[in-house]
Amino acid sequence: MESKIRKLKNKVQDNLFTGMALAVPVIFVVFIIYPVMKIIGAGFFDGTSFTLAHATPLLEERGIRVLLNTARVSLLSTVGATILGIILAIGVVKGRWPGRRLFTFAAILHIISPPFIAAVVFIMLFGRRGFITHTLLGLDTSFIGWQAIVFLQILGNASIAFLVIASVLRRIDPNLEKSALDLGASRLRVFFTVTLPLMIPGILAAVVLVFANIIADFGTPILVGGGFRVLASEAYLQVLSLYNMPYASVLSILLALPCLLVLFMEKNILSDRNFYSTRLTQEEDAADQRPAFNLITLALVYVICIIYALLTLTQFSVIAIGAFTTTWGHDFSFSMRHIDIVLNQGAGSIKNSLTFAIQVALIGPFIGIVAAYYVSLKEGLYRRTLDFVAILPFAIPGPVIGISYVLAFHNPPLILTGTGLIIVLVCIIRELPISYNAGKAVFRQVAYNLEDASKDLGAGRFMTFFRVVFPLMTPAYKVGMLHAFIHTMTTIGAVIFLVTPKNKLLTFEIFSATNSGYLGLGAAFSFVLIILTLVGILVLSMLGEIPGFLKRFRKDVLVGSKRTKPEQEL
Amino acid sequence: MDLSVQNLSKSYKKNLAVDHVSFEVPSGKIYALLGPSGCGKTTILRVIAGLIRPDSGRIFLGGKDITDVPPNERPTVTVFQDYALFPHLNVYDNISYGLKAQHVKRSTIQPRVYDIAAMLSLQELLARKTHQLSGGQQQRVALARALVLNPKVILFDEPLSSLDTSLRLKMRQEIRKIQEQTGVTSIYVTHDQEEAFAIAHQIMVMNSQGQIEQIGDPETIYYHPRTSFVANFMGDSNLIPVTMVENRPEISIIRFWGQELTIDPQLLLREQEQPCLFFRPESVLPDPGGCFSAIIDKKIFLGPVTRYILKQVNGASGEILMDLSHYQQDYREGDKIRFTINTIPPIQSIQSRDGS
Repeated sequence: MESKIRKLKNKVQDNLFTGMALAVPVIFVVFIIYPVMKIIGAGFFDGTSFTLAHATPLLEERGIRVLLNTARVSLLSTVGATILGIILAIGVVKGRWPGRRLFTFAAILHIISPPFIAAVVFIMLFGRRGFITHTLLGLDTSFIGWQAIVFLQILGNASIAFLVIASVLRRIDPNLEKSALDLGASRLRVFFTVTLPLMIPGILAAVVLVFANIIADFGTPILVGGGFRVLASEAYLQVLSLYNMPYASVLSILLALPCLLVLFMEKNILSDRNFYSTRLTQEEDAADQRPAFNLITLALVYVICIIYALLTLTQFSVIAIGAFTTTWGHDFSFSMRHIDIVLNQGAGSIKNSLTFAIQVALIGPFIGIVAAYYVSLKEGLYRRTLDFVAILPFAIPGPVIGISYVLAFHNPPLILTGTGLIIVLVCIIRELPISYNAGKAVFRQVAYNLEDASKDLGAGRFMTFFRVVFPLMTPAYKVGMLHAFIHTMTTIGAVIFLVTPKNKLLTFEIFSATNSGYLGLGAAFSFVLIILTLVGILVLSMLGEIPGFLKRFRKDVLVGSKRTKPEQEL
Repeated sequence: MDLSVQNLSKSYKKNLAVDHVSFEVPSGKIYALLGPSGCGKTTILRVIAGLIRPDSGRIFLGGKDITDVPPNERPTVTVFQDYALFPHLNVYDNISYGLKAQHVKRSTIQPRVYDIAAMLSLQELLARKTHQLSGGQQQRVALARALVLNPKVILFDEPLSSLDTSLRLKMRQEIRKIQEQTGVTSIYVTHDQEEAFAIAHQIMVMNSQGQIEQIGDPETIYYHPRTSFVANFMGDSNLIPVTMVENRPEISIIRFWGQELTIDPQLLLREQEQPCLFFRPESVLPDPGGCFSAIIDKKIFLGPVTRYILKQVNGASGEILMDLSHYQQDYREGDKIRFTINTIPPIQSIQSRDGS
């Protein structure tokens, strides 16, 4: 009798689990595949027939210019940011200067601030009413233009490249370098024949992240580009000013294609080059045993690191000062008026940003982990397809996913536009690849074997998942949670088309204030956003353990940024 | 309960890992699956555990077909190679995990865990996390976690391979002792022939193609290998090509090392065209009245024994390995000796038989 009840209970649990698992393909289809189909349909189909009619504006002079502009800015910025990231990583990981740990925190500060904040600061310093151009030099011009975009993209994205490359560099076995030295190679030779090749997975991962980030960014070009248009800003204008959805869809697909290409190039190269250990837990600090470079190289590297740190410091100081200044560019006296506006008129935005971010942070990683587990149970083509779909949001730039959601959920059968839910959903999907990948990594390394052990000891799928797989996934969950919170707080690209007056977000407020010339207000909103994000991630990190949370936070963010996407999109 | 594997095959992407394997594990014994790495022995174990689905073949436990029973409902438990202890649970929770999975009454879980912990001297460690344990302790926890379920069959997947040598020797005694105490039917996968000898009642030797080479008790496998693969895998061996003079079912006459001998045909390995006489280096004994003579060509000190490589006096090709304890006899290179070869049943020289 008892065993019958137990069997029934097992059956119910198994079915419950199956139901939960079945939600995975459903979510994939409804919230990833369907919107993608919709955007392809809008761009290249007239009813049911294929058409290139919507793409013709691209062949006009303006369209061609946009394409060339995009290529120029994204390539130059990606190369620049990656090289700067490599130099910074070497300086921090291989160097011995004091404060290099603080430097890592400075880089994280970049990561947790909205993507176009550098552009806000740039305008405050070099714009028409800029502190340097106007107040100090008395000029009436500004330094905006495509060079400004490239400069800001390099600065902003170098920190992402730095974090990714540094985490790989740290994990390179120092004995490899030592044995190369021991075999008689010069230090320079060791660097080019051992260290650099071993860094390549990190460098490629950084290139993918940085490239996707830059090409999707419409805020920076709009704010500092002057009339300089790129694909992302053009798509933005097509949607919000002209409501030309078909052309915007074409632009979006064009935007997504290179990202997809880069991602899969990286994946394929990486699969042959997996030389470094990928254990999440093992991150040794090889500080004591590294072969140093010669003095001149090191000096150069340090100088670059210091300049970068100073620029970062400047950036956040300007934001902080600007937030408490009466009228930036005219009256630099202390004032609380911007902060007052933010806390009163912006209270709704603050509440929205926080609520959405917390919801995404709690729900998103759970879905990602369940998906990782579900996919790992499958085999063959079905598994490869699911895997592809799960990381697809990774390759789709934020604005593109935003536009696809507008297209997909503005009409029946599922009308979600105008609700807060769609913003939460789009952020969850955007974050899916992070917790999915982290979960997959953990599963591949430890959980696989332990899952077998659990089944072998007589546990059903339900118990196996909740007692073994899920607890082991907590590091992955934490990584996903932190990233989800940060990104939802700082995102704009994916949500700008979904925001309504009822559910405005802080990033949206910063963008519109700055874009309308209210620099002080933009700075104040930025300041509040950064503080809230910082507090938020500290609280989230503490959820696990109170002592040592700082260390854990650093580790989670760093480790998580290895293969996942630590940046803000836009 | 006895376990029977019938005609089991499994391939991975066209690579045949297990090739039509059948064997019977008698109840209450330790049965070793021995073979080089990659020979499919772990695959067999996982099929028995239900973690891998075979391409073909059936598994019977106590006469009941369990091939399609899911792993969590099988009365088999695996002790994994790297133990697969749950890192987020302490020792107590690791050991009690299977009992909870089987919804054993809470009140009986604790005494059972304590009993098994006492048996394996783990009482002091129950509150520890698994990463705070030494290798040997982790091994014992893995064993306890399996034993506490009173499984019908325990499957050991190279359980000692990550321990250092001295601990390995100790643990294999302990495993054998505990198996004898509990009488649980065990299958023990290893690539270490010494470990298989020390632990198993029966040994099944597999080759790299996933086929069975030989099944037998340790002594038979060691002294009467049926193939040169088994002969060489089990240790150093003398496999000397011989000339057949006469070949009858119950007796063979061969020419070997300048002598005509009558031997039991089962001492010959006939895989190649020319049959080979097989014997172990320690079967060779110096004997002033022995019928073979040789020159010591090389002397190699190996520790427990000294190995001599013997050449024929007349300079004919071929060499024989002879292992002697240092206290038995000590020769120098170049010494001439006479010797006999001990086998069961014994080799007989035709001359000596005629002479008697």
